[in-house]
Amino acid sequence: MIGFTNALLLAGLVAIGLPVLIHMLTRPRPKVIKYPTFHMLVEAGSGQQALQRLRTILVLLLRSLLIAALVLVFTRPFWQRATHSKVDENPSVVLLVDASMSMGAAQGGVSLFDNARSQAADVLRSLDDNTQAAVILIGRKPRALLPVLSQNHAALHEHLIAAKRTFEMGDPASALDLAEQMLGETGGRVIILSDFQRTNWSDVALADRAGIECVLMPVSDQDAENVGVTAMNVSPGVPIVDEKINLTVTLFNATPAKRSEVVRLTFDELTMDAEVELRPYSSADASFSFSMSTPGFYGGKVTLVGDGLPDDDARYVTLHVRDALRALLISDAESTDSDYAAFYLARALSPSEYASTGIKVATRRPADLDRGSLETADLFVLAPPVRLTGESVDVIARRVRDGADLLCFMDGPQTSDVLNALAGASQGLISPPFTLARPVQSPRADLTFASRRLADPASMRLGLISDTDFSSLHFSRYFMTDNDPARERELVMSHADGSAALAMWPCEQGGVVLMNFPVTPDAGNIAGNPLFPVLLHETLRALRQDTGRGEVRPGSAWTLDVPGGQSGSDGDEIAYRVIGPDEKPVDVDVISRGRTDKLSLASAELPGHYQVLRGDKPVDAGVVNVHPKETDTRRLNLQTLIEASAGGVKLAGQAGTRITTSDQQPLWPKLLILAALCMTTEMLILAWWPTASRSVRLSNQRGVAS
Amino acid sequence: MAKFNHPYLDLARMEMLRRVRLKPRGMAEGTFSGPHKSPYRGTAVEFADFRSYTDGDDIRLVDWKVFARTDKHYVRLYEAERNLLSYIVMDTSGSMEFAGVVRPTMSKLEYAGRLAAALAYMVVDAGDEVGLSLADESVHLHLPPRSSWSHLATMVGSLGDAKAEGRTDLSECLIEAFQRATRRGVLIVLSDFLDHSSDFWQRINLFRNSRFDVMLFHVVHPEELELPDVPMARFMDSEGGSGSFLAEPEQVRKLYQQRFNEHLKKIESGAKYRGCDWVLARTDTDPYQLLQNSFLERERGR
Repeated sequence: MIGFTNALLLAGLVAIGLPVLIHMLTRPRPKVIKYPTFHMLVEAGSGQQALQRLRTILVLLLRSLLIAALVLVFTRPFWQRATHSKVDENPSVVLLVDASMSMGAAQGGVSLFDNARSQAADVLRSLDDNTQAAVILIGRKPRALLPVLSQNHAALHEHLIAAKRTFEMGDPASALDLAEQMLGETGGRVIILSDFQRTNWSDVALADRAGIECVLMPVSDQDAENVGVTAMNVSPGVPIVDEKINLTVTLFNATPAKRSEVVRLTFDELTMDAEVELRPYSSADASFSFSMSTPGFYGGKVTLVGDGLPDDDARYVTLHVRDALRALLISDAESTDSDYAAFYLARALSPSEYASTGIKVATRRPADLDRGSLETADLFVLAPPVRLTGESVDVIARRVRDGADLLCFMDGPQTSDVLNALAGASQGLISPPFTLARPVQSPRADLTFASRRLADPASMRLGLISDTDFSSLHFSRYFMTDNDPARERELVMSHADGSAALAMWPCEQGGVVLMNFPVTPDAGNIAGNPLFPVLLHETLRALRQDTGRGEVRPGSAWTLDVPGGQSGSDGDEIAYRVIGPDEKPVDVDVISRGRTDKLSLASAELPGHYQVLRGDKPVDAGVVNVHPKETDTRRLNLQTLIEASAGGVKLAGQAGTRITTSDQQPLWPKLLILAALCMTTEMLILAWWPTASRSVRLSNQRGVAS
Repeated sequence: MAKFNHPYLDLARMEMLRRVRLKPRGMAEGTFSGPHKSPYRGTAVEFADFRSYTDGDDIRLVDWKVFARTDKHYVRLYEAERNLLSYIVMDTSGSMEFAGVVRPTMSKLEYAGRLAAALAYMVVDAGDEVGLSLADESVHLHLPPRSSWSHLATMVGSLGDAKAEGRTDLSECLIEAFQRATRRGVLIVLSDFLDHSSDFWQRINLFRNSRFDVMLFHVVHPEELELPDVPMARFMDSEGGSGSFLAEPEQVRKLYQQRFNEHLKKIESGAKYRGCDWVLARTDTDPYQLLQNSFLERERGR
């Protein structure tokens, strides 16, 4: 029997009368003439008139047929044979449509997502009326177009047509979980329409779902050729005015060919280009060095020449340039007393107030710590001996999590207390990757660093000291540590017995460095050694490096810390507005106010800069970047997956695999052929069967010519 | 000269016809003496014949010189000159109402009426007699030939009042006209001759055999010669026939023109064959000019 997918469009068949109507409306209105030679005229013209009438009727008929065929094409008619299949016993179908960023890759001018959506719509249309169906979009979080399985295919279809691709990283496992949940115990069929990107799908267990048959419908039969920016590293993360800023851009070439790409960095008026050679399926870095002469925040971006997947060809960054780094040196000892570490640390950090190291050091005793200095410090330096109050520990722990850095020197009996307090206040985030066993002492002060894990990414940041010979440094004590094997990569330098000498790890937005050696003259020569300031500053530089931690991805709600604002003239707090990359406002709530205001923003949909305005004044900007995993567009080998699934997973198009629950043969190609035939025949009639007026004109012209 | 005030008769324009006369090709058999030769013997100066004197002959006509030579009485006969009898038969059928669509002119009826009025004026002005028959399916008005100005005024009034209606049966009308014509003269037919059956030519033959001089004025509208230049038209029979014909004139123009030209040729050749004068009277031409040209032509062809 014949069926129509869009039966409502059959109403368009009324347009069949359109050619006749137009003909009737546009043809000249006949003038009634009482004519003396009427009979003579009838005798003369009846034959000719009949031919012309036949021609008109034929043309109108063909036009009506053409319109009818075109209208029927849009109704998507099909010839359906009634069939019985296993699916009929269990008709529930869930369509998983991949809406991740990689689905934006265009092939043949059409994005993969549009392809997937179109194929999903086809599947929906072909379902039996009694089939329970659902559509789930795969994104960072799965989104069901209707909350439960439904037989209302039209509503599903409408939602599907209105669905948009996201810039998020796909999480197919969550989507499958949701599909399984929706299908319930009865199970059913899950049809997956995706590019089956390796990075998203390699870990997804398709076959282990009872009662569910997975049908894979790849929307592309080839890898999308793509080169994208996968990472951007700014060092230092919060640079100081005129400080050299290194910005490293990592590109990934997801094509089988060697590529040469020009990377463009843009910061307001600053534009720099770099060329990068990329081997097939590998990453390469491009580096830019520059400095900023005025403090403030700068929105920048790195772009590539557009390709099939343009969304990862740009990556955004916001650079907060400070006039100086505020270091708060906390020690029970006076910084003027050369017997203690504070003396050496203060001078190593800032030799004098005229020397331009970009670091402003404020020295406080723990008892003198005020809220203001704690809240404004960018760097906390704990120089033994130090015994912090509980309130100070809480503030420091919070500040470090919010982006400040902590440099802690371990020496003396208070060390354990300080570390425990910090770990407790930070809910374990500032706990070192080791536990203190016991102090190690050497009367000859012949202890030295045993090794540096310079191949490790953390220690690689210590660029300037990577080749430095530290063998001239000697000290007489340190803490023996029991290292946590799971966090070994955070240990940058170690002692001869394997104890941690220098550990560095990120703590949410901030970073922590623990140095397990004394910085006093009585315990070795490190305090007066020229290598000490080098080690200190390079460590600080590594600490301040923006590791991309806390980077916001599309689809996730996020928070933004902005410098606290003044109240309005009437004491009211000025409202914040956040403008997204599409120039539309983003929902924002102020979680807390103070020296730093914490803003909570709705989940970002688009990558780009999100400008924060207090009142009408821009005060900060946040960035949202796409997930680098989406750049690798290589597809998973589905055949291997299917073979491993022992029959639970099938590939659409394989023998015996039916997507739909009925055997349908689309009729629209035939209708298109019919429409083409109608049009051709009409053209031929119009060209070779001229109207009488035209033939008369032609004969007149011939007469004139002759 | 009587003064006429009728739109059908423009006396100023009639001046151009002053030099032309309607002269019969044969004899005139008018009631009164006139300028035209007649088959009768009368009192004209032109000698015709002798004949023997019979009782009752005017003794003044006896030729005494012949009596002296022959001792017999012979009477001298002279030709009688009579006035001309003209019979105008004008078609007033529905088809004569056509006045055009795109290039309107006066209607064929009006044009024929003006021609008839001018002809009648010419005839009366020459002292001859003119009669009028208005005909469609039958003769519905007949004015016997008279030569008075009052008769002319009646005629012109009748022409002006004529309405184009009804079907054409010219053959029937000609029979009626023939029966009412007591003496021979000139038959003038003004029509579009759309009813030109074989009967029509038999009636013409009837007149011709009776030595009538026949003039056929074929009145046509230019838009009959060529179809009206309109994109589409619904043509209807102007003589009240049923049915209509929806056509784009451009589509049938060529075939129609062929047909109409054949029709004109048939009438013309039929007229020439029978020694009749045939004049194509287009309604977009000046009727007085047409008359002048046609009479001059007739004069040249005498």
